[in-house]
Amino acid sequence: MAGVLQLTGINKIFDTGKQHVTALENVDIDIGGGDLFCILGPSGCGKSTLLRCIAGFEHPDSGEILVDGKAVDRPGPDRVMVFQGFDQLLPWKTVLENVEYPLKVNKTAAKKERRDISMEFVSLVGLADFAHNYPHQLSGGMKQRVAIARALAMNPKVLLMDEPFASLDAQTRTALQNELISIWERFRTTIVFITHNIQEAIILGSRIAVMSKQPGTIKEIIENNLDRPRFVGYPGFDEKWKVLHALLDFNRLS
Amino acid sequence: MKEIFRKRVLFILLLAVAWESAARAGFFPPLLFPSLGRIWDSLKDGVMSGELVGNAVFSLYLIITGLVIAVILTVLFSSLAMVSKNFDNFLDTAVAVMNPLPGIALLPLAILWFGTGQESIIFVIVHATLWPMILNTVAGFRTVPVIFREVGQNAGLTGPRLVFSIMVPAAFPYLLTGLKIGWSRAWRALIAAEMVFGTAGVSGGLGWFIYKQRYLMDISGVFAALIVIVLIGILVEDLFFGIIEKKTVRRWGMMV
Repeated sequence: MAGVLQLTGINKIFDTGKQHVTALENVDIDIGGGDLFCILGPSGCGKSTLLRCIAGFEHPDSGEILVDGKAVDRPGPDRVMVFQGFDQLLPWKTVLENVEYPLKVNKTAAKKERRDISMEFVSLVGLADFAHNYPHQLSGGMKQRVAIARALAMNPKVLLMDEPFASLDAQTRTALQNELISIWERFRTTIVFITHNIQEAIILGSRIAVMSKQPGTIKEIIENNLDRPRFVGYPGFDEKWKVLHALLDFNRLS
Repeated sequence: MKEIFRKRVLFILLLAVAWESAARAGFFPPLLFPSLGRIWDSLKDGVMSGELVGNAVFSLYLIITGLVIAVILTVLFSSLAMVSKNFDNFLDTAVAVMNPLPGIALLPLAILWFGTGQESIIFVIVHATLWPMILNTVAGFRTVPVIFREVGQNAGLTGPRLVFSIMVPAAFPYLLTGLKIGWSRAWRALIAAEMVFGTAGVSGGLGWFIYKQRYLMDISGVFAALIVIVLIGILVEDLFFGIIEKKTVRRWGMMV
């Protein structure tokens, strides 16, 4: 399988009158089915903008985004976004209702079946006991789990993740990274994962695209074939880290 | 809730004791400062004869009619403001101009336009409630985090469905506050308007009842009507809005 998500010649400029920022310049990416594709870059490099273009929240000034050969022009349930913020759950719905809601909107299945599907995904992320709690009663890590469950339940062609673990403490982040990998190994969902954390990119990514800043361009895409589970100190990990670190050129002033 | 109830009961008891002591001490003429017993009798008579109940029902009918109209207009105008930037600007100015204008100040005009019937009172109530409710609704819609809208769009929602499924519940704390302000302003406007009509002697309602009892020098009757007004206020604020709050914004952790 190849070419579930194809980006060709994406350009995006933010022009506020006073400022003229080239957020994305000639971005070409071809992401195959079942990839866990990490986009690694410093803050402000346009990686979130790129993801928001794929999601359809933003529109590139030029270039083409194809999902399964069809051009993207607006947000839709075939490309689901998991955000960084803990406020992405609808506070007036319970955990289960949050997961079920997109299925309801899209009339995915009969009511009973919808409930079952939702419950299955809530259980998958280990929150069966909290299915009837409201989001404000959950911790940050739990909220991100629910957001992942909600996205997976929609069975999207591409799962878009915009630094979903960046606001979590280190322990919870590691736990969620492991969960995401086991979910990905089970469902083989195509995932585009944004991060500014080199370790996270190595642990998760099957391919890693390194972005540079102003203009936001893809500097290089590297394959990551390390065996899983991956962790710091694992053979090959440090070498990958050094390669990525060199590519990120942290010393360049913006 | 229980705690509040206990405090309220205690306070009312203290007030009653103070009142009764003052009445019995004879500082004031009993005609102008009736004892609790006499107020109670008037309340009982008013309820039994149906006069007080009838007027209360009439007042509630006016207030609910006015509020329903105001809510419909609020939804309509606020939605239009969401869609059109021009209408939003227009509405902003309209609220700024109209909100400080007390409804009762428009009553003379309303009488000229609609006559001395219910329509004039309803007009005043709508005016008194519409602007603060629009103010809160628009503010509520504006403060809805972008992320909720994007989550809705991502699920496949568009247009009116996005507004009603995402924007309305997300702005609900503000909508509820608007409704509460609307209710209290409607109550004030209503009683005032009914009293003015009392002069014309053509209408009913609690305000009119108070005016009439004063005219008849039945001061305990005036107090009986005041008690009914307070009771209705407490019922609506504590019970009606209290229960809605508990079932919605409190449960959702969305208190503003």
